[in-house]
Amino acid sequence: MSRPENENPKDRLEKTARELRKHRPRPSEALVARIERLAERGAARQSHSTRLQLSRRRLVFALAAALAIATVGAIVAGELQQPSKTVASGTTAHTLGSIGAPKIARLGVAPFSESSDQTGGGTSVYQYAEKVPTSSAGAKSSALSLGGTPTSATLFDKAQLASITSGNRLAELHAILMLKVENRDQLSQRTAQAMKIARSLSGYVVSTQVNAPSRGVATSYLVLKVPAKRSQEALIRISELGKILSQQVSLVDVKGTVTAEGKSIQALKREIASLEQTLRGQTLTAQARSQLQIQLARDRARLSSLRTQRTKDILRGRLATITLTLTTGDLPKLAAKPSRIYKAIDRAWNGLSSEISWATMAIIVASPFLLLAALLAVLVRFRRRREERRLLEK
Amino acid sequence: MTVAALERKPDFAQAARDHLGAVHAYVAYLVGNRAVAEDLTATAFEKALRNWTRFDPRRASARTWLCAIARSVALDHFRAEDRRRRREDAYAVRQEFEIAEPGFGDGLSPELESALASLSAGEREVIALRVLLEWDAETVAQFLGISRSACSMRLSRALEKLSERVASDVEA
Repeated sequence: MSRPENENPKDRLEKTARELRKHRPRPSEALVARIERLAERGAARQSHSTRLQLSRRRLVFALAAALAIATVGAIVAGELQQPSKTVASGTTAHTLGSIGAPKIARLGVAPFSESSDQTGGGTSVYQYAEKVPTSSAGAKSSALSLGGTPTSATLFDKAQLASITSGNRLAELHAILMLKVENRDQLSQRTAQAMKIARSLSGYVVSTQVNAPSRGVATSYLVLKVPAKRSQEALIRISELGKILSQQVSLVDVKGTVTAEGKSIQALKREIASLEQTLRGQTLTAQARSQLQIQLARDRARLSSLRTQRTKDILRGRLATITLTLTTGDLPKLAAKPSRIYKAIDRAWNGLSSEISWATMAIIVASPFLLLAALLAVLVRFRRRREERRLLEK
Repeated sequence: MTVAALERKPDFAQAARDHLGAVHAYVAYLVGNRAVAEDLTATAFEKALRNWTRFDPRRASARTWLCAIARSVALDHFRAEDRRRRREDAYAVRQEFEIAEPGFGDGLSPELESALASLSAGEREVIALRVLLEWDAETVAQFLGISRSACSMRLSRALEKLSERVASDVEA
């Protein structure tokens, strides 16, 4: 290969390139034959792989369909599993059979819960809570409107409240009432009246707090204690002070607790008497005597503690607590009852958000490992590139 | 993969027949040995057949994809050779298995053949891709994982070196 001395470098490069292209390496016959055989194998495999691809597409569709069915199923299941609707206002009654108390009416959408506390000597807790509904449909006496004008509908509330007592059984009654009054003058007047009612029924005022800013809603909070036997009367009279916005009454049976405490006291008394008698004897060794004395001191302390506790429990049962809130404002309006579609969407959204939170949690847990893996991948890639460069530079 | 993409995808047999020459030329330039190039090309096509379902024509042409496989196979060969050399160096029993057989095409002038052999594999690679296969700079840059300017610079340096060595051989 000869080259003229004054040849242009560009031309020279072009010429070299042309020569390289012209004498491009050609595959040998053997290689062509080998690749032909491979191509034949490939052609046979091609139809199979196409089928595989299509079946993968079907699989994706099947998965999407399954997902859709699962979602619809979840919504339908949610619809079917939703709690049975509450009975219309003032139509059902629950009996507090275990404590022999009179009936408590279940009103509107008020939750009525019952729980048992096994640790307190069979103490039972009954709770009754009500937020007066805005609608009066089907409930002649629950027609109080949260934001509306006061009506004479407090009659039913009084009757219901009056029926919530423990009867003759010792039980702790706690009533939480929220009443609406017309204005701040009436608020201070009714606050004083409530205190007066408590005192007139041989009760007392535990605490009172009046919050009456120059503008806005004025509120007073009272905690009253009245004898349990007169709690009915107290509730009736207090509920007459304004329009009932909300009420919650809980009844905790303490008779079992007190009885158990009484039995423990009797047993301790017997034990103390026995110990005292033993100690009066002259046959005891000094060590045995001192041990018995320690035991006696312990029992006496325990007896004292039990007596105090029993007195407190009896007091709890004898005195009802009434937490009264008087306000010039209204309760926030209850939201309109959501439609089935809305509830279904809400449930679906709840499910979705739960899944999202799980996924987020999984990501948070896995992220350090993922980060490490990514870092490792980058390092491996970098190392590989460097190695490739080194190999290709040879 | 969409149905359209599946329809556009050539079958392996056709792709193998169409691009065997290009892949072989590329591998031959990369390794600089005809016998090894033949073996590696066959290995690359076998590997391509095994992985043909992974080939996506939307991401690269069949030729680029086959060349990428061939490059990977060639790099594996370089690694194996490197390890072999190091092992032999360690035990001082090094033997040259590679016979100096012209590997860059029949009819090339001995000066050009020798100049090509003196280039590094990376330089020969860029010449193969840009000159022999006539790929555009963008595709080559993407294929090699470097920038376009780096690719152009590598090519011009390689050609310059090639040209200088040919000229010095002629003068000699």
